[in-house]
Amino acid sequence: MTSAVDDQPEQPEHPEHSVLDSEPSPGGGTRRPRLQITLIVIGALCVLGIGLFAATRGDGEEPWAGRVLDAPQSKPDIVLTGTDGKPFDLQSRTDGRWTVLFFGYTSCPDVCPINLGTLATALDTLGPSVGDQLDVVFVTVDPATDTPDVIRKYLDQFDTRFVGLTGTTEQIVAAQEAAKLPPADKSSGKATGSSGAIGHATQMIVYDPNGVARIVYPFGTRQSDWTRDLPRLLGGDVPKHTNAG
Amino acid sequence: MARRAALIVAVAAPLLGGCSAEDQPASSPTSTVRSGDLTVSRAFVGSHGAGAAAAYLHIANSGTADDQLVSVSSPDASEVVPMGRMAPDGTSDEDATDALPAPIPAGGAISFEPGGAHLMLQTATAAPKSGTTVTLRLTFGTAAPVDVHARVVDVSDIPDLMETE
Repeated sequence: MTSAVDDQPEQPEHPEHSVLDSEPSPGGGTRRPRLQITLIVIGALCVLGIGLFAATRGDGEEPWAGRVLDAPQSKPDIVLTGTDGKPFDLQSRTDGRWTVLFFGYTSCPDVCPINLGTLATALDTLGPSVGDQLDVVFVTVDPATDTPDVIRKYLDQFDTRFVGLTGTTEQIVAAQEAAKLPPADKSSGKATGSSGAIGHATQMIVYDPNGVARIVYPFGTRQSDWTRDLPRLLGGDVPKHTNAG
Repeated sequence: MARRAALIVAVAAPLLGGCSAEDQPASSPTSTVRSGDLTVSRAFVGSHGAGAAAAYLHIANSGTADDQLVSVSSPDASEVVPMGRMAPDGTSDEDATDALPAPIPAGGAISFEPGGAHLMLQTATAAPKSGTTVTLRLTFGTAAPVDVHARVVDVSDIPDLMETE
């Protein structure tokens, strides 16, 4: 956006006495004013666009790309099954580390790979200073299809460090409730934002090393959002809920 | 909400497009294709290099008669499975699996978009690679069938293509 003004076509200082008008006019006069009007309209739209952009960013505190929660949430106290087939106690295994929690399923072609791929690429960009302090935990909502082996192979397409968990249907429903997410539902996942045949909540929840989440990242979070927010979070900047947010 | 997002895209896309080439995603969707009163645009495929990929596109109907998208197939995929449902107003309900046939109302438009209704591409062999194109063959109730060449982008670049919020 910042370069928008530079990229504008040259605008005559005095449109009514345009440089264009003084040039030879092989095509007759009718095309020139249209070009001018087009340029003026483009210029006006650029100004409008910059204004809109500024207006959405215009509060004092630097905004977060994620959605700051009204009230902090605790990391779910759950034990599921890891991709090695062994029990995985989420709280104890991720204690003292930053944790990104996301529910999905491996046959989902839309939301899940976009979420995981975007985060994986952002972590690549950020390098070990961030990646070594952070666990990404993917919990399947389709345990019938997503065996530990299937989940491992799936996650390895994005990042071999990603943790994959499964469990019984009851355990997974309980896990989503503990994460304060509406449970996934094969018949109807209304209002949760979802993909494919299994509706499921699509946001990624970020827990700090004390197991407290203050911010979630909705579907559509860009690489640039992660690469801006994660170093801030890990650097100790605490998301605070404001009415402006 | 999907409707609002679509509106934002509709308003923002030409606005930003006129301002700066830098604001246009590098992997900007492919050119538009017309068939009669229908214009197909913003066709792209998200891939992570393995497994199923998802195709997205936008179809506008500038005519005075309703039409419908009857089927989508692809010579580059063993199967194209529509996911989600297209409401008559062009918004999508991602949880149903009866997206097609989808009505394209006169003067209206429909969108298959990330997070909404989409077209799942099943490939027998390798998943589509980013930087290549996938051909989508669309058939309609009235308009002649068209082939759309959708650019394949990496899934991690899709949020930048969404242009919402």
